[in-house]
Amino acid sequence: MARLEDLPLGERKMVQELDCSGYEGRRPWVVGPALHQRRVAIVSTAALNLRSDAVFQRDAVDYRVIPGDVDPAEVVMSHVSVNFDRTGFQQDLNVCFPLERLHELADDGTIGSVADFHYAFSGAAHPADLAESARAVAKLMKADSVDTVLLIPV
Amino acid sequence: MLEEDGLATTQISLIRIHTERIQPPRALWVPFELGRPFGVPSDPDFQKQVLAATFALFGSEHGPVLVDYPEDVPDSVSKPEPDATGMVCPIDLPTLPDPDAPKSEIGQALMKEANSLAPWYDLAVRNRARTTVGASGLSPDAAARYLAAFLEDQATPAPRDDIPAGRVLKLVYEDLKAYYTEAITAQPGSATSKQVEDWLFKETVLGKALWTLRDVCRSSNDEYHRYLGRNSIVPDRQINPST
Repeated sequence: MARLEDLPLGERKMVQELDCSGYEGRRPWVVGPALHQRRVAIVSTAALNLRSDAVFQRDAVDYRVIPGDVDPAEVVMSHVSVNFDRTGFQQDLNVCFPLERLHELADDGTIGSVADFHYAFSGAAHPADLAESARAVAKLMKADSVDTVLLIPV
Repeated sequence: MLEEDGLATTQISLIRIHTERIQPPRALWVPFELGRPFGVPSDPDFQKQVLAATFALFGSEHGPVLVDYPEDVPDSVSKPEPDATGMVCPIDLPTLPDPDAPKSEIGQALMKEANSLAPWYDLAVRNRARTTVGASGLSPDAAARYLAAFLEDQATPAPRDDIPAGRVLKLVYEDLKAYYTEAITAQPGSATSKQVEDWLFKETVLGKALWTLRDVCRSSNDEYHRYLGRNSIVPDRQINPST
């Protein structure tokens, strides 16, 4: 379904023409510990926020914090796009933000642990405009002893 | 960028050509529909398999790594039943106003329709122990009232003043869409996301109201409203269904 040929014409054109520049020649590569020792945080671009948070604004470049022990009932979405399915998210937060699955993998020893805090951005902005927030989040994750990040689009 | 700061990353890719261009260190392309990066809601085993494949990319010694996930979602999730022509809502929803009906008539029918879905919405909330309605901060009833009032008079004051009025409008109609789709998916039987969307935009007063809202916003003098009207009210696949 996310195959290019399955997208409606207007959306397909937008996707094909989207500016993805700015990453040429950048090839960072961090190995990290063995999987069962990793402490994992999620970064989502689904514009998720807690009910008590400010909603994301148009062209937002800031982020929201999702606690690792969050009640899924407290998580809502304020993404601007109408061109992706939201009924899956309505039925189960894990289909776009698999926090419960991560906890299960930590419980059975597949991964080391789940971060205390996770992060949500609104994916409508250009990545270059998110740089400052991304650096801030990186610092916060290190303070949380995170060594591994799971990046999830929507 | 995170990797440049010393954090190992792995990721889901939904739009493969973007990942090919950006070349992040590790990415698992999945063939699932946009909005569902882990494929199937309420299927922990399926989700965990996708997660395991994403973490398996740490086994590569060098990158960038872009791997295609080999499994699509089951047909029962992505394809309509062979004899299905659409969803059948067992509730008698109000008759859709005529195409040329005054906006006040659409608003009245919207209020009535939203109210008729309340038992199914309440059931959905009980079954799932959550709702995604509420980003606007308004109750569904208040959201419907505001949308109805806005359709009739675009100078209607937004019900909150801490964010731009256009943003309030967006949150209001997204909350109403969530209210409707949570209600309809609480009913017996299964439906694809496209069937739910078709039902909303083709068979409900809310759908009619959203098409009308799109027209109103596209011809508005307000820049934010025009921005919404361009591509943030009705999905592209409803506007261009044959492509």
